[in-house]
Amino acid sequence: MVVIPFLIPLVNLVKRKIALPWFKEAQHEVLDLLRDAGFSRSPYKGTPLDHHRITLFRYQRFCWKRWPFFDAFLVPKLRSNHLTQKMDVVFRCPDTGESVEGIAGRAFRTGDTVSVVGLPDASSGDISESDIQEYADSTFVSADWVRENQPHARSYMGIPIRIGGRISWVLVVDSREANSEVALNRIAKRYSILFNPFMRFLENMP
Amino acid sequence: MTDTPWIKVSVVPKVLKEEHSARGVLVSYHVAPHDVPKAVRGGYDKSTDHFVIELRYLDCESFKSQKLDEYVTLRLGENSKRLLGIELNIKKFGVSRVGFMIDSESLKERAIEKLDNAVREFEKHNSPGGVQYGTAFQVVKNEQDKLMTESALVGA
Repeated sequence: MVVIPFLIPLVNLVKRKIALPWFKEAQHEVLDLLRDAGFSRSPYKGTPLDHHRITLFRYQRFCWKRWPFFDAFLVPKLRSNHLTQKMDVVFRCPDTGESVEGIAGRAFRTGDTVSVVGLPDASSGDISESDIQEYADSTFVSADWVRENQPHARSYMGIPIRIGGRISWVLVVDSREANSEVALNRIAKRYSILFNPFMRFLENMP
Repeated sequence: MTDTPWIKVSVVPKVLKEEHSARGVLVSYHVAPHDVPKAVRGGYDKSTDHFVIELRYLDCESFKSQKLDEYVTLRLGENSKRLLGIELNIKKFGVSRVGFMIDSESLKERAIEKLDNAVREFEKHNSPGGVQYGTAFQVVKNEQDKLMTESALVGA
């Protein structure tokens, strides 16, 4: 009985490792389509792919990247395009609700689409303390997290994804463009059109 | 279950809240795409003798019934509590008959009146901030003429 909680993540890990390559490619394709829906047209056309990203976070009760391992987390599983594929940031979203982290956590907690635009540039070292606090308050993380991670993104959008009525995934768009409202709206619209194949991917994703 | 065709609806997700900071940061909340109905249909369910309005969302979900009064029962999502359907007990409306024909206009008016009353009462006890019912009720209201046709109401 004691080993069962350890077996579940192990089985999931094995399933993930043997997932068919075409399946993963198809998932990437959907995220790329969504990204392009927002950022491949004017006024964002021609900007680098890694400046505007879409990341899928999964709600799970175990994550070895953060202590304690057995809690509720939003863990990044997939990101659009081929750059910045190293996804280390895991957000906590405990049942108490008060201490959920990040845009992903906020979308999970409220069940609403959450968007933030006009953030200060936190990637440079000369950001003021008040700007750090503003960034942290608006993106639902701590000021220490902003200092440590120095995020490049200046606008975000989180969309909670329901499967069978339950929020089990969150889609997060982040962009280095401070004023990306037009692109975020385009993605929100296109999301509903692309969702049907997308849902099947998510239901079957190990 | 009814077998009438779905009527596709296109709803722009409502802005729920916007927070502007003095430094120009804007945090906004919209109704999520999964909470906005994509299609609606209405038909007579012969097994229950109820007129049923069903709402379809991006994902499928089973429902639990919540009786509002003797005329109206809501179908709420088991996990999400979204509005998945409305059952109207037409037989209890006490509609006048003209010969052997049902006066369908009066039936429709009674159905709309009973539905409006029940929805108003339901919304009083289900404040905003939880599940967003306003959008779903608005979809039903907008499409009520197409949903509550004479043949659909009486199951002809």
